[in-house]
Amino acid sequence: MAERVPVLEIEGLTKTFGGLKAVDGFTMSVAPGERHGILGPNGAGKTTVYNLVCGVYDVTTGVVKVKGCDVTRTSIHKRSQLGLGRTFQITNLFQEMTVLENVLLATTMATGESRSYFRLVRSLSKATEKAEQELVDLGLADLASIPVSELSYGQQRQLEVALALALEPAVLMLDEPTAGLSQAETNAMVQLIHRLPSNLAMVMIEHDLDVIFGVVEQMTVMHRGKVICSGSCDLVRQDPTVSEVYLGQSSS
Amino acid sequence: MTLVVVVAGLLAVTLAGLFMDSYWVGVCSQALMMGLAAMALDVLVGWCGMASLGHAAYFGTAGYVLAVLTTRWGVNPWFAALAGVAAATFLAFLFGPLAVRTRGLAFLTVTLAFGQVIWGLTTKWRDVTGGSDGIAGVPRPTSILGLPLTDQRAFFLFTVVIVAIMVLVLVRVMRGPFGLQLRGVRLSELRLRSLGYNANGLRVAAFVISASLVGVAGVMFTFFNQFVGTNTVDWRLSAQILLAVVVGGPGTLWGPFVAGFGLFFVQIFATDLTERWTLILGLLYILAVLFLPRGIVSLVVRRKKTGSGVDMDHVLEAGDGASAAVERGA
Repeated sequence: MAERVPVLEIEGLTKTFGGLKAVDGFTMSVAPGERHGILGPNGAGKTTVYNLVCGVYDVTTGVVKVKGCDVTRTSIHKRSQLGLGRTFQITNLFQEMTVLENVLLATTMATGESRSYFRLVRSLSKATEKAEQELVDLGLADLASIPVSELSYGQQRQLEVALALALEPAVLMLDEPTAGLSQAETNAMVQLIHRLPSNLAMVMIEHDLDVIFGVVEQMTVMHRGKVICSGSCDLVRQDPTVSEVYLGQSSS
Repeated sequence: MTLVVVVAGLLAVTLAGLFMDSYWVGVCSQALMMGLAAMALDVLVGWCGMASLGHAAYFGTAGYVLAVLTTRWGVNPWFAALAGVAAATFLAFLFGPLAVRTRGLAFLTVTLAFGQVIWGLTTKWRDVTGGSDGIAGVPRPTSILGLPLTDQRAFFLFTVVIVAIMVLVLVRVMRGPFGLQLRGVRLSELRLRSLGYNANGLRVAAFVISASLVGVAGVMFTFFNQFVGTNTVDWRLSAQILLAVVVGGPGTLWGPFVAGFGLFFVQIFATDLTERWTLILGLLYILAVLFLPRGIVSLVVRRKKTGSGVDMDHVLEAGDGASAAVERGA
């Protein structure tokens, strides 16, 4: 039974800002290893859902569970430790640090060396090895010692994913990973997503329909804070409401 | 780099100290303590981006606890010194969790307010603290390893050793994961928390470490003068330490140490010239902000693009940045 417990369960999630219902009864479930897309027009409340799930905002009503564990009132860092790894829509990296130092903050957390307070950063061997491997996988190994602020935007978006991935999360939550990328950079990002370990569950907010239909199996479509459709990619493609509010706009 | 400079500097000061007359040896001892205090404050200012204007509270509390325990209750000076540092640490555990809930200028104001509470207590609670008279006749430990600490030169060597130990431990810790995490707190709190770090816990830890090292400086200062007065809890001392961090180069540890050390000499010369020596201090501050926004370190080291080093603007604006990051997530 244990193996089919959803890694992420969201039930009746609601968030009001003043009089505005930004998210209204959002429900979603992600099984281990599942690839799940969240689709919706601008302002549909997708990033707000992420911020509620990760603990940045307090939930008005509803429940969030990670691996069966209720985390609705848990702090951001504890949710992360329980297995939520997220990226940010607007690149959020430690700009003045080197690329390696950025990844090290994630890998030391994963290896437990984040508490080896009396060792020098460079002698945190397990975390360093893991970080260097991560950078090789991304093709950023040559840039390990330069500050993040000198990376191209596309490289920063890749590093954004790498940081969340280095935590070895149970669910990787990507927030528009290809936003603002060139076609070549988008392809590289899609490659990166395809290479994710198959047992890792992944949730992804994405506007680029080619990208999202290419990498996810399940999809949840939002409109004005509500879920209007949820199911397999084929089901969502054929849903008349979805094409009206979303697909219709972009394909007509 | 930091290590080499600090070790070389301490060696140079030690050698110089051995050939000076006892007055200047004493000045050097106190200057070292101020260097230590500034370096300790840098943990907050330069690494976490939190400018505290209340660190005299921990300096003075440690000194007063030492003085009260030794003069009124006859406690052994060594134990009283430990109790003094423990008291400063405890006070930081009390104030820290409250103060770290604020950012930028609000943090500056809150720490100043806490500092003034301690100042108020010390000046008004005359029965215990002697009010504005202070407490005189604080005994030094008689000797350590055969060194008679009543001798000015021996006390200086003792100071060098204590300061060196504190500096080495601090530099070591700040070059490990803790230092990296504190820089993370300053650069992007939300990202750091999303990686599983308790950002406020790190802030409190930095606050407490910083305060207890300042407490060590306070205890040494009280031993040296064999007297403790309200100048040790005065906000002007807090300002002087903060100024040393700004002038020295926040985030570099050794810059603030050198500046704290040097500013004490400036104070000695300036008080000879005028009673209003804070005027000179203010002038130095303006000059530093205008011409050396990254502190005196920028005179010595060509700034590495990645290295540590922080603009004070960013420290005081830190609060806006953090909340803006959260809002942007919407």
